[in-house]
Amino acid sequence: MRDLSQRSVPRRAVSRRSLIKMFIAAGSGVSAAQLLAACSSVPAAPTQAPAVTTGPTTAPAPTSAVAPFQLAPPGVVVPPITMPAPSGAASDQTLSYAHQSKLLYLDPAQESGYGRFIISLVWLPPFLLDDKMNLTPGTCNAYEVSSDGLTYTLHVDPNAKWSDGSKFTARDIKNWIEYCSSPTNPGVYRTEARYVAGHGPVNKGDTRDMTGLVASDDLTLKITLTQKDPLFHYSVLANYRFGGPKADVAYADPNTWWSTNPLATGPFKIEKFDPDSLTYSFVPNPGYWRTPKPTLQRINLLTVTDPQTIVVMWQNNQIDAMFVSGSDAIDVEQKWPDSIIPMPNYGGNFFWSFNVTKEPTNDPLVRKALKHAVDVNTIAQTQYFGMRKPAKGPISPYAPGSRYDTLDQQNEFFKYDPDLAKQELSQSSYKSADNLPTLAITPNAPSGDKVRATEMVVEMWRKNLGITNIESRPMATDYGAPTEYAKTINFLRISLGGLPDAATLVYSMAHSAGAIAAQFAGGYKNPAVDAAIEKAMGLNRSDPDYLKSAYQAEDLYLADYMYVPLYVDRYSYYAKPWVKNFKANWNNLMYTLDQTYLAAH
Amino acid sequence: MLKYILLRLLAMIPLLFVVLFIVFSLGHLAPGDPVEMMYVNVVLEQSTVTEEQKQEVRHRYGLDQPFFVQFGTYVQRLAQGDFGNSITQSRPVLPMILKVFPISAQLGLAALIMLPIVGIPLGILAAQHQNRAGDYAIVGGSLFLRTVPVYVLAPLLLILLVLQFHIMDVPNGWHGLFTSNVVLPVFLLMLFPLAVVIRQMRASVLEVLSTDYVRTARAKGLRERQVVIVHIMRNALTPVVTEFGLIVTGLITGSVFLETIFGIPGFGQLYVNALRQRDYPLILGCTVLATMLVMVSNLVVDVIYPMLDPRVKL
Repeated sequence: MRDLSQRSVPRRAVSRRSLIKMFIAAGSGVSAAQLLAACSSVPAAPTQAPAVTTGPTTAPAPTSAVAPFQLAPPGVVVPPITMPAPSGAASDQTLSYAHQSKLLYLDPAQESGYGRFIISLVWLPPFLLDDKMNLTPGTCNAYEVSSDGLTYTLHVDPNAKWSDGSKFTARDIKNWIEYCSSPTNPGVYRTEARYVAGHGPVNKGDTRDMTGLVASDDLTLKITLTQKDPLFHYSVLANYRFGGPKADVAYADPNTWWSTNPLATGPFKIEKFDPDSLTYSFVPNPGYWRTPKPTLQRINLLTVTDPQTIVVMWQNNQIDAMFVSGSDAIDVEQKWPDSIIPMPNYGGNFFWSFNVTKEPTNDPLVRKALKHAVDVNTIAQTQYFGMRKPAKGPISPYAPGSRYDTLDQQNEFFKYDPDLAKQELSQSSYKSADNLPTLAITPNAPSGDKVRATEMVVEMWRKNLGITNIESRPMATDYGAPTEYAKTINFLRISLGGLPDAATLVYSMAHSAGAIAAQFAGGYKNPAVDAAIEKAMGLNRSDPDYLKSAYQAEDLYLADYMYVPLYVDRYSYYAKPWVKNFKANWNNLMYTLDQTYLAAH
Repeated sequence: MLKYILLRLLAMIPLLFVVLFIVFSLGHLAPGDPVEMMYVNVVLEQSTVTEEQKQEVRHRYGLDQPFFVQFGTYVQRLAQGDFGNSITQSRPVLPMILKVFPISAQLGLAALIMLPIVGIPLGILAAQHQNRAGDYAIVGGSLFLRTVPVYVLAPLLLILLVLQFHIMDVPNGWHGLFTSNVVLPVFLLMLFPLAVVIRQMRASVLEVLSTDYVRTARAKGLRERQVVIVHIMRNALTPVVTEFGLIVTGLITGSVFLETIFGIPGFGQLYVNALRQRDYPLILGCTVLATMLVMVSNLVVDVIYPMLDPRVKL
């Protein structure tokens, strides 16, 4: 060991020269760190807010949405899709699937997000949707609807059984719908079956028996409605929430039953579900009663919350399939366009909502000015590199009958006109930007693209209208509870998703009873809009008056200038080329997973 | 010594009470409540959530009670070992914490073991080469690594080690301490305090080198190894040991970035998610554990100190 006493330099106070050298070394270290951080080559969204431009980017043109389609009329069930037989399959059929959110439960009654990729293949609902929004057999093979639209008769597949071999019956469907509607359900989706007779007392907890659900025998379930619902086959029959375990299991342990190896009816069952250790795996259900049986031997679900980590794992082929969204999805789609597996017609409108009860956005002319001062197309193109369409009306481009391509030509709402905006502001009760009270706004997201988009809006307001008195907080909850939004927030970024049905989408955004109008818009109510929507909702989708009413509602809503559009999102899975027979449906389900296999690679 | 330890343990109770009160108050003063947080996204799915439903949930968790009643109830139950139920996951808090804490503890302790193995020799080396290239390289390098945030360094290392050099796969998840998955997380975890340990050791050694007893030890003819280990290190380690006491809590509870990047289901993630969701029982449960950890580690340091420096009396 070196003799520390033999140092040639006697110990003394640090000299000025050595102090300078140390500072240089430290400064070089910091500079190198900055340089390395800036040169990070992991794919990431841009970190600088781009300058406002009016020209398009050079990014690839957005992938077009699925060709226009029609929602299936009531009563129609088509055969399930048959995929090609496995060829050149790998010996290891373990699918590694990654997403960014921790799954806390796998309960159809509560499910609203990341568990949807497989939940309906563990517990089959009465019907499954294919990628064209057709109903295909689930636990039921067929159903009829009475001429008045108030009675549905479901026919259970006589071969349907639970994974322990016991028979699956019509009563199992009835019991599960009742459980989902009951207060025992820890989730909040208890009103999906609200039009079924007897739903009210079950929902209150007065009884478990819903009188509108009658299992006349093991294979027949009769459902009686209190009012006609032209989309009942989507809202209930093909709803993933209504495929579940034996209801008794859930009643006994509503908070953790899925982690106790419950019986399944689908091609897969849970092998392990442990959110604490982030361990989730699924294996084929040996008792599955339909063919084909799954080729996959196991599905491992990986929780990779960090977007950079998931992309590195993707590049390193540690993941066979994944789901990412928002700006992360844009990055992946730009680099690996062949990996896109779209969830057809599942897309949300992102927009900012105005508050009609808080000053100054309670003045329609102020809202008009704020809307006309914003170049929506530039924001959407700049933030999403042309990979996402700018949003327009409530009826998204994924809904049948959408007027997306022509709507902005017909309506002054969609103009970007700074001069018009100035004029409108001067005609408002405030006359000029100087008189406006503080605008409280929020991008309501930690993601960079939403924050930058909001910053662009603010900059356009400043540039075009001279507005500078703005308070911005990152999340809406930073202003308080949702019940406080009407008092505190003028301009709030939210999203609108849902069934790709024109009337449903307009309802969600514009009807006074809908959450967006009631809460985020501060209590927006236009009786004419409500009436048009209600008329459309009650019509069969093949009725010529249906779209007329939906369009009327949309036009009336646009005239109230209730929002500023942002972009239309499109959700997709991403799969490696060796993942074969992999398709997704609108419900986010990998609905051909029973036929998916991994080719040798 | 025993009396001192007992007194310190007793003193932890009022301190824990104060910490809990502060955290409880801050949670209730923050905007929003957990019930609203639970349902804010549900509303956007166009599902209706009635005020009755929200009130029912609030009542179930006692959130409709006055502030002091809530706090008093919580403390009373805590004294009986009941940490309450998580609002977001509807299950007992204590098992949730006990499931993830050992993972973070193992990671933290592994980093804690590696720290002196790496940091102390480097500190001594830096002192040996004071004001020369070796000193600058060690101090400058450790400072550089401390300066780069872990959420920058980790992806950079992943790109280099996984994509460029193909040395390893991306470590993801927790498969036990003695697996290759923990090498990178433990390395990154110890980088931040490493600079502190190196600089502290360097300064301590330099100070001890100039003392009379070291000169006396050499004058007596002791071998250099004996001088370094018995006289220099033992005295130089005293302030470094104090540092370890302060570091250990951060190693166990502060690894949330690493847990996010490497998908490790640890204590840091649990704590941060609880804060995000305003899950009051879970926040308080995690706070209890973190506070106990700080207090116990400081007690351990205080007990070890006199063993290293007999001049110090408890």
